Amino acid sequence: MNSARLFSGQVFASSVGAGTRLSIKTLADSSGACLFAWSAADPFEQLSDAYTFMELRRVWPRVKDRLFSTCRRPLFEILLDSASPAIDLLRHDAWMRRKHMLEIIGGFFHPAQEFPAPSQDAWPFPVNLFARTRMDPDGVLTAVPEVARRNYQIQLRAITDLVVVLIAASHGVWKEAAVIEAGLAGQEEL
Amino acid sequence: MVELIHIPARQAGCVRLSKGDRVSIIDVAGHQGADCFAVTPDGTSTSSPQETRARLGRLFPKIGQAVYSDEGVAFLTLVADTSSGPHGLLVPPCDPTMYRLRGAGLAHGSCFDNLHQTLARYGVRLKNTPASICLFQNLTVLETGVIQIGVNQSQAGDRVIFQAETELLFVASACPNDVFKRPPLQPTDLILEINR
Repeated sequence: MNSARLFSGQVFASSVGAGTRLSIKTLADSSGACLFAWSAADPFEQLSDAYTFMELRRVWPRVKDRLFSTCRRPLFEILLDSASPAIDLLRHDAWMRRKHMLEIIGGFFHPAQEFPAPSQDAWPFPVNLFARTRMDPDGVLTAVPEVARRNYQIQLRAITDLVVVLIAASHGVWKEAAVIEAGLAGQEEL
Repeated sequence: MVELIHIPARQAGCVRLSKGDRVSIIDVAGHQGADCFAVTPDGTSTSSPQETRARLGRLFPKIGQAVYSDEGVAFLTLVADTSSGPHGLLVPPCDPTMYRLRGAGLAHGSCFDNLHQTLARYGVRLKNTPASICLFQNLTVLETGVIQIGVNQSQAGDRVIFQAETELLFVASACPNDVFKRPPLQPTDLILEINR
């Protein structure tokens, strides 16, 4: 298994083939990750909260559900979610503001790097891992922090060839230690 | 000065708004959805349901609250709403793929095509498709998290009014979706009323 331990703000990116399992494990409380993905063949076919809502007809995806692209194709199947539901599509800023995210991404992706990637002005919104947003009958959204505890795990299976990008994040003070471990298994990288 | 733009069923209309202008989106016959979008005149920034949900901590703005752009700029303020709601900020515009997957064939009109073709006439070509501000869409989220979309509850003449907070192109598509509606409901017209 190809894996990496990430500090808050660090990026994990890989091209993965269909069938690859992506495992993400928290190493600290109040920690998680922002997940981005797009088709390996087309960086503008991106993992999407809006299309997943439409195709799933559910705001909190759970094990066996699929996460969809802007072309309404399934990109991932959820294999494991130990704090289910802890894959958050409702609030893109569950872990960090978009501006901060784009600064991190801008420092990582550059014209010479190996992955096909969307430009910053077409960068998708993330799906947040180890995050949950509760909703009251009036439509008020509230974060549920209990789903971001140490040793929680999420596992996704790529349904098609993808580029996968994770940004590790933490609301705790974890500058001295890695906050998540991300790993790939089950398929050779593209 | 008041300007009226008539949007026939299944089609879209666009208006350039200056800061302070007000646009009313009027459901002419009732039960009609309006997929709306706001874009900077150069096309570099679009209205963003995702950013709006995050900024407001709500599924849809209350009166006096804003719809934000993907860069976190207040684009439109919700000024009034005569409908009983609800409205949606969760789902994307209908698109050719959706209609093909649901058996409606390849030639079905869509809010996706309406948006891009309308903006192209203003010289704007977006790289991505923003999710819609779905006015009059009868989308409810149950306690279990299930999303229910039913026949729109808006009545003839219902209107939603936004005030522009910056210079914008505002696009409204009279949603051509006749797949989820039960007969005899069919797509109908919208009117944009602009007060400058």
